[in-house]
Amino acid sequence: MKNLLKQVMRILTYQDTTFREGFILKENDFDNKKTGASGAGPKSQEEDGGKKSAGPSRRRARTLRRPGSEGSMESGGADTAKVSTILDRNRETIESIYGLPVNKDIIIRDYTIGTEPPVKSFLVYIDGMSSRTDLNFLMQNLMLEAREISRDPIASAPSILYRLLPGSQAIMLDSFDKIVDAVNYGDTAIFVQGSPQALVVETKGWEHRPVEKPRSEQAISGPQESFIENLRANTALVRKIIRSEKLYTEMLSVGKRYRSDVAVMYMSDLANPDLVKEVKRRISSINVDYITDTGMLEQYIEDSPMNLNPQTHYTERPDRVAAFLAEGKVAIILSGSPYALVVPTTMYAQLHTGEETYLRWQYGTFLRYTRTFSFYLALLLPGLYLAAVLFHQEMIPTDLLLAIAGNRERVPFPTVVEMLMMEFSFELVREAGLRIPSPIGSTIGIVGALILGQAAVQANLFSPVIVIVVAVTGLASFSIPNYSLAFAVRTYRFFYIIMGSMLGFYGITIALFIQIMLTTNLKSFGVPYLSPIAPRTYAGGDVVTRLPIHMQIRRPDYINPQDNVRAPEEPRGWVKGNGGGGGDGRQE
Amino acid sequence: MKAAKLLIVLFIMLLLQGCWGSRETDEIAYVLALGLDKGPDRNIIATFVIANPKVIAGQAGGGGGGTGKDEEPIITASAIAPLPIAAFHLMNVERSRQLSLLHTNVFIISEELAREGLGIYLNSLNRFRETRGTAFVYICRGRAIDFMNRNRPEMEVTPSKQYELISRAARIHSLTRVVQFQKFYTATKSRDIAPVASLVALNEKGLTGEPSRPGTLGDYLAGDMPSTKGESQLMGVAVFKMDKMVGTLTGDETKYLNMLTGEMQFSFLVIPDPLKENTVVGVSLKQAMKPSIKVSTDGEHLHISVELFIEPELVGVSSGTNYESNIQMNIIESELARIIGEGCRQLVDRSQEEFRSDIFGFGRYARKNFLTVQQWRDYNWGDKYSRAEVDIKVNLKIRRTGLMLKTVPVVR
Amino acid sequence: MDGKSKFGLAEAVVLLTVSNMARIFISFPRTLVEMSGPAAWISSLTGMGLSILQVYLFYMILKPNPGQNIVDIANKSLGNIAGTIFNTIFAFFFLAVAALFTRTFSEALIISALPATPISFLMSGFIMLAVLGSYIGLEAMARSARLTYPFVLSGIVLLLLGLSPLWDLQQVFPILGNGPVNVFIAGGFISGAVTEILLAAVIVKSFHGPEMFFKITSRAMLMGFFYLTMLLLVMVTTLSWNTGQEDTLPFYTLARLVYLGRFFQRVESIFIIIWGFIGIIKVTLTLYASAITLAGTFRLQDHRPLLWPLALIIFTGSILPHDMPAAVRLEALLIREVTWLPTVAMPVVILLVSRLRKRGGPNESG
Repeated sequence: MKNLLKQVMRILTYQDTTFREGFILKENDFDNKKTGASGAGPKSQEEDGGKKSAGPSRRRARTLRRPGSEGSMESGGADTAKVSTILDRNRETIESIYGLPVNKDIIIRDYTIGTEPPVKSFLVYIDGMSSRTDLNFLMQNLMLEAREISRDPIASAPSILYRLLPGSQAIMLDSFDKIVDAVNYGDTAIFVQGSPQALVVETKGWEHRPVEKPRSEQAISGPQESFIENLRANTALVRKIIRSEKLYTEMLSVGKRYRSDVAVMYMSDLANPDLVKEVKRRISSINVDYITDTGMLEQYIEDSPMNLNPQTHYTERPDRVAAFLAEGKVAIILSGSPYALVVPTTMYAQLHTGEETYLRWQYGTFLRYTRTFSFYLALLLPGLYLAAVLFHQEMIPTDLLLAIAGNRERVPFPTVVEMLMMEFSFELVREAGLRIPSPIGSTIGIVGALILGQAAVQANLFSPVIVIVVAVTGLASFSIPNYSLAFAVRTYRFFYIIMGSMLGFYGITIALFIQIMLTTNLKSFGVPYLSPIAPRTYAGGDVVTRLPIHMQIRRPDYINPQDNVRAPEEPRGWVKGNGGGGGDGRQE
Repeated sequence: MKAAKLLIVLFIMLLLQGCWGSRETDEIAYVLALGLDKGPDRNIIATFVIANPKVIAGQAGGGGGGTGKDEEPIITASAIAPLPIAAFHLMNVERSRQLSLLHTNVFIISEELAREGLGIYLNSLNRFRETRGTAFVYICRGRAIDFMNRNRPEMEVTPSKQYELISRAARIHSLTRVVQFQKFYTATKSRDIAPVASLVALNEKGLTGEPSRPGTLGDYLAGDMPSTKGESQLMGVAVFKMDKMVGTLTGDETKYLNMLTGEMQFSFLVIPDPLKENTVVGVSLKQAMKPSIKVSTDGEHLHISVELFIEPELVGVSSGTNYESNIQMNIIESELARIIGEGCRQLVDRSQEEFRSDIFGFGRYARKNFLTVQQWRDYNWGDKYSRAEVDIKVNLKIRRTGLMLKTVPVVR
Repeated sequence: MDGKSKFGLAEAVVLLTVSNMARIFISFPRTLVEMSGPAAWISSLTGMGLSILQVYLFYMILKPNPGQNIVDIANKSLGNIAGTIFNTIFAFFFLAVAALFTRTFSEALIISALPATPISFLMSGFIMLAVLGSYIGLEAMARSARLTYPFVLSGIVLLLLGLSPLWDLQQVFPILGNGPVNVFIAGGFISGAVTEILLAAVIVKSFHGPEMFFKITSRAMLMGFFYLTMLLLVMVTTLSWNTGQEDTLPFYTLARLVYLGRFFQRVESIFIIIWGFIGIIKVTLTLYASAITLAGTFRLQDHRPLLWPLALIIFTGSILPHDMPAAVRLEALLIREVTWLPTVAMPVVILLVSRLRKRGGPNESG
């Protein structure tokens, strides 16, 4: 009570209330130290994110901001140090790098290697990242089973490595840089008294989800696996489809502050070596803090970030990746992301799914034509409808026009406004549907469609024709298999709406022309985006109409693979009447 | 990207200008049919049949005012002006919406106006962007304004549908000739064919009036055929020379016109039975091929020979004679051929003497004989045609006799 | 992209064909029918023959100088002053063609589709698109043409076939129309005056050599004239040559007449899309050619800075005629009287001079 009175008195007498805000992030000295070392442009950002530098789009590097340092990557000079032979000094180095004992994730375990005479040693690992069973097994071996090594008084790292260490991958390292990298990724580092090298054993074992069905690229036929966040599991998923010794996986790493591994996979006897070189060049020239997801990586390496169309293929299905690899393309997988990138890509490849290849060619062709038609619908239908109804009413049959006009009589909005509002609410429904918690997730369809649409029509706010047009457009845009391309189409649609409502069919023509010009000008890793139609190259029988599979005997030409021929003239050996032999040609 | 910046400049410039020419559907009144009558002095009275969309759409919701039955789906309005397009613009003063001729499917011109010459009006209709070249041209006996006011089809929602469907029905009976505006206009300016246009009228008399004589069917002009009172009838054609109307043809004669030009699809004829008095035989007519027409222009006179190929089908024999048999069929065939030949002959004579215009388009075939346009012009077809000799030959073969292959006589 | 991008046979043929076909959408067929009567299609075939001869003429100029376009050859053969004059005439010829075409095309659009829009808006939009297209480069243009031409050409064929109920084959007679003089000579000259051959000679560096030039251009001419002939035939048989010469836009009128049942009628607005594409491609190509010519004349590295001023010149030029009939007359004048100068007379001079020089002068690099 007394407090209340006090507070009321304070308010009435206009006294300042006590400072409640708590923590304010002040500007401090960090801002003054801008590293101009890698000059990518006049601006440097506070934080990361998708912001582009204002300079020419060629350079992808970004400035770094390190608190209190003058351009070197890690803090302190100790990292470039080498492992010392004195164990305690190593331990001090590790403690100072990791900030122990404050940083509780890192564990240092002292023990003695059970050789004769015993050697002191300690191992370093990150709790949660390293597999406990592996560690126990390691330690069991080192501590209990190590009898033989006793000739040298100092047990040397090589002998431990070769004779005592039962880990499946183990190397010797002597630079703290690399040791710390490895430990950060879940390996265990073993320091041995008297040895100038440390041993790093692979003990990765953190929690991850199992391989599940793909979430966003569903298909009825074909394999139903999708990538997960574990890089090794992903590469294994691809390898188990392409079981070839010519499938190379090169590891690169990106990110200066937080390192991520990137796997670049390609068929060494198929993929164009220039292409592979270019991919590796672009990835290794990225100069950023960290990259969490393949989407970010895509944005760093693509040719034209300003263009709406995606220039890489973003997929989560290993069978698609394998199919692309077998054509001679290059796959990029980032650890920690369940999506892979395949480059180079064309718009036609983005409109294909594996389903058409797994089904018979008639069904595949039918699917393709349906998809082509719905692509055009999703792009052009609202614009064409607006152009016809506003400018070219003579095109519409008289009865239909009178029905449309009659329905519009009581609607208060102009047609353009109606259309835009309906489109916007459709996008709302789509966006909200992603985030609604699942118990009521299924009802959002009913709520959105029925209540919004029907009630709006009943209330004479919209005419039913607009609702139909928007609904058909939305459905058509769902049929585009590539998620990014679907976004692009949805964005283009708005331009068509604007142009169609301003200039009728001529406006649509202008917008079509501009879009076609910009799209044909686009290149994805050196390959024109609209190959193989423009420019005309050999298509491989698989662009819109899918030829029967025994007629697809050559690979598509636009990526210039090293070997063009997929199969001989008649891959079905049994057709020749001999029955034996089978088809020689690559098995897919 | 530079191109993107260029585009943005383009875009902003476009957007800043606003937008012209876009017309919402509820700002426009759609004229479904246009009627032209002779007005005082040198003016015409233009009648517009305007659609009332909210009634046509039949929305049940928001029923303010009466139900759909009380409001008419169409509104008729008229204006007086020297040209149809001028009247069209004048109407905008009265209506709350801008009129649009985009969906005018039919032009109805009164006979009076047609006899004076349509050239002046057709010119403005052809030039105007909104009129359709595919609209139908009808000539109305009487005043167009009366016709349009009272033409209320019961089965159709809009008159436009009625007119279009009537035109398609013309293919079945071939008692009229439906012509589209573009063809009509072209024919008014060409030397080698004279335009014709269908006749429409409302039936005033009901079921009174003369029934058809045997040997003809549909021997009426529009509006004269006895049937339900108040219904509109499309029968017969109006014959033009250049752009002036010079006469009419009954439905029957139009049938022969269609035969001679090869445009008859189906028709019907009732002839007196050659073997038995006071009974009739009904046949449905079809043309097997287009007639073969040969025109020879050398020599003194123009010589045109026409060969028709008709395939009738036996539809009704009221006398009970077994016409399906071989011999009887020949009798019927020769009788039919005679009647058709006579009908065609009479029509040709009429076109040569009374109308003096080549409504059959024989001139088109004559052009083959000339090398240059100049020679053709010098030949003066219009004049030569009236004095031409025309031979008509009818090849007739009854192909089918319907579901009955033999007629057993009724025993009295 | 100074014409250094290369593209293949199909793309180049399509590009040139589309550009050549642009004139059938405006008043050109009407002019032909007026001149030749029902035999307009014969005039068009005559023009096709004449254009093949022109192709051969240019081929003979280009063959001894592979890797150079006509601007360079003119500079080389005629020396600096005369060569500059010649090339400037070429450039201004392209500009005139572009300006008149923009004008007539925008007029056509206004008459047919957008009656309430001011013409300067349409023309400036057109020209800005041309600038965009020339800026991005010829390669993208060729590819766009390649991408859209199936729709464009099949749209035209569908239209022409959809009118088949209205064809009256007798209208083709009298077979020689307005007399052989008019048909063959005057009509042939009018339809044979094409600018695309000169255009191809300017962008010839993008083809793979003079042999390809011959193949590409001859095929493009064949296809373009084929479509013109078909259109003329349909026009004469449907509209009859007498009334056909009244129409401002014969193609549009034909499109308006399509009537396949109650549902499918008055679909001329779809053809606006087809026109639009063809018109834009032609103006872009002409602007590009004039920019390249000027750049070559004055030996500039990049043609792109020239685009804006040239666009302004085209815009100004296109506003000049008073009214639509004046524009049509001016175009007819241009075709009848002026076109033969840069497309035939001047190349003949260049050919003769370059051959003479080769024969006379010992060390001309050829």
